[in-house]
Amino acid sequence: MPKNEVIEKSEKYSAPKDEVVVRVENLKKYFPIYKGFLVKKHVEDVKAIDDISFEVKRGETFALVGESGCGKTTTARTMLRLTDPTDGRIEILGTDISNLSRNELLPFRRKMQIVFQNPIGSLNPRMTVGQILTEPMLFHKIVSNQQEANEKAVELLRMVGLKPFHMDRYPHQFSGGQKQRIAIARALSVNPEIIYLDEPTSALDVSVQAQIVNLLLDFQKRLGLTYIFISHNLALVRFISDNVGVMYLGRIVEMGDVNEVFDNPLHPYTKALLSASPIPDPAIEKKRKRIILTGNVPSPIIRPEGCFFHPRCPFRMEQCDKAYPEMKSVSENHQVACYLVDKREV
Amino acid sequence: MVKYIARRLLIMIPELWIITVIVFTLIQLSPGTFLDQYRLDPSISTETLKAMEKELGLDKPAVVQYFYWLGKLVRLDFGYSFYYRRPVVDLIAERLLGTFVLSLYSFVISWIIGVVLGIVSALKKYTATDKILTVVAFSGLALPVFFLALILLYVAARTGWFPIGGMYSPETSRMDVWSAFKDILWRLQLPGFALTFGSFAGLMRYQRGSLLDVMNEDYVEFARAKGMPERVVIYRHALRNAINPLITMFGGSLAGLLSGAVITETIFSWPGLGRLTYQALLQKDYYVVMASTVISTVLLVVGNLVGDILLAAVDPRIRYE
Repeated sequence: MPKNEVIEKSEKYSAPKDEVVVRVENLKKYFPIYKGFLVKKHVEDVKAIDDISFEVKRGETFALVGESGCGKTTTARTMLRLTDPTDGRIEILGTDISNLSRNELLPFRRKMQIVFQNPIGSLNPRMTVGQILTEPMLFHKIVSNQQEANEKAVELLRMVGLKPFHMDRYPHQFSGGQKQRIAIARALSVNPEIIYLDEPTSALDVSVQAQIVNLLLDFQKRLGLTYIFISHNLALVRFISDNVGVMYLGRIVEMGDVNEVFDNPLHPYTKALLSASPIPDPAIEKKRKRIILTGNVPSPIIRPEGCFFHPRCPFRMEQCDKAYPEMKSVSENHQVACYLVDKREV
Repeated sequence: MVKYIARRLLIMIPELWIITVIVFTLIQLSPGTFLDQYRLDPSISTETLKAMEKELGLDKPAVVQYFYWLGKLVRLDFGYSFYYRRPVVDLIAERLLGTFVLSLYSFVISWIIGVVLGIVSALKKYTATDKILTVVAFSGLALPVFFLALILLYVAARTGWFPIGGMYSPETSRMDVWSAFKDILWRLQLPGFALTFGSFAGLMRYQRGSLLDVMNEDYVEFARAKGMPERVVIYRHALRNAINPLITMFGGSLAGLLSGAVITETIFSWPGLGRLTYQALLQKDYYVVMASTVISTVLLVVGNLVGDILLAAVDPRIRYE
């Protein structure tokens, strides 16, 4: 990564940002499974998110990482109330939105936007870019008329590096990177404070990825946006985010400052994740010991007793299959749910 | 676009020619000729048969017969029917109305019911409503038309609730317009139902499937994240993107409007093109079969073209050059 961008990132820290804009407490999302032909019986639950808590301060980026199916996207969808939480609180800008009605939610929907992974599917193919950008503004009455909306849309296009004449084009006339720029412009159109980024770069070419990441960082700095960033790309997570939560089977197993967690991973799962991604230095890459996990991710329906990770854990101990370890703080901004931490303290 | 349409219509000429060759060859290859029924009749002399053969042009080689027919077709003359001894054009014109009334009736109803129930079924996915509709749809797809038509005919005969066939009753010509309309509508119910039940089911499943596909798209999710009412999300974002496969089907099914429903028309003795063609096939009445083939082919090609044009009109991604 170029040096000047690292400097940009450190500048971001100087801005005062103590206000907590997102606070998730004990959030749960279970998908019930029914069986039976005529009479439906509730037999089991898919525990997609099981009791997760974290908070994000204004202007910060909180990243969620983990394997496919660990509940990252469900967390974002639940926080956006695209699906209703089973239990827990979702505090957005100081208000718990987990039980708000459709109409009560509207002002919060304006404050939260989402950018999806696949820019091809996230833009309606029947609408022009102008329509795509103006519809959210008009719906949330951010502008008073179509003309004002068009002016703002042109401004947004300029901000994301596109041209005013692109207004009348359709999504299929753009490249993947350009489509993602449009999706970002659409998210910005309603002046949001929080943006969920669900793997916003993984469907793009590597060269285009860097442009989109820089664009996102630039907007965060200029507009004071708070990002919830979901990704598989650990190098990108380290570059873009302030704090990170590592998810396994619907729970956060380790959480904290991204540098602290990645430099000193304490949970065996975090260690395994980090060792699975290559280090761009052949000397270190050759020397380092990799932790290869065996077995598959257990089903989120029938989870292992005790710590969910114990069947695959290379450091398994006696108590690991008895009870799920509690989340413990190891430093001011680093928490982990693993029995190994107790052992170290003794 | 005009160029594209012109090209498509031009391609139709060789297409049509090849199809007529194939159909003509097939009829020639099948055993028997129109005159066989007379040959079996001992009261008809060999001289008369020879005269008939010459009169109908059946004494010439098949290739000559074909080009003779083709030459007349170019001048829009469809030839004479052997059996009816009348111009084929007149025969078809007479039957066109019957076929059109029946097909249009079933077409309109199956499209309305198919599309509406498809949407209902998709929006109420996996509920009791959806499951009942699915069972109905699969029954429609699985039941052969001839079987359903025979059952309906049996029920009509046993109960007397419906007329057992025909488009007109003996009194139709003496009725005023309104009662004649009501009478025909009444007689239309059973054949109409038999045709509709088979075709709405497919439409419904297509509509359901394509709407469900679109409902999973991220732009629909984004519209929901905006807080738009579900109704607006469905009609403005989802439905408009879910109609492409149906437009293609619409174009394809336009051909059915005038080519006749052979089985249904035959079972319900409906005076339509389908029955005319079927009888002509049995009697080896070449030129009637050929004319009906030409009509169906032209309609099929034009129907597909109409479908493609409609698709380009509603979807900005589709442009023909």
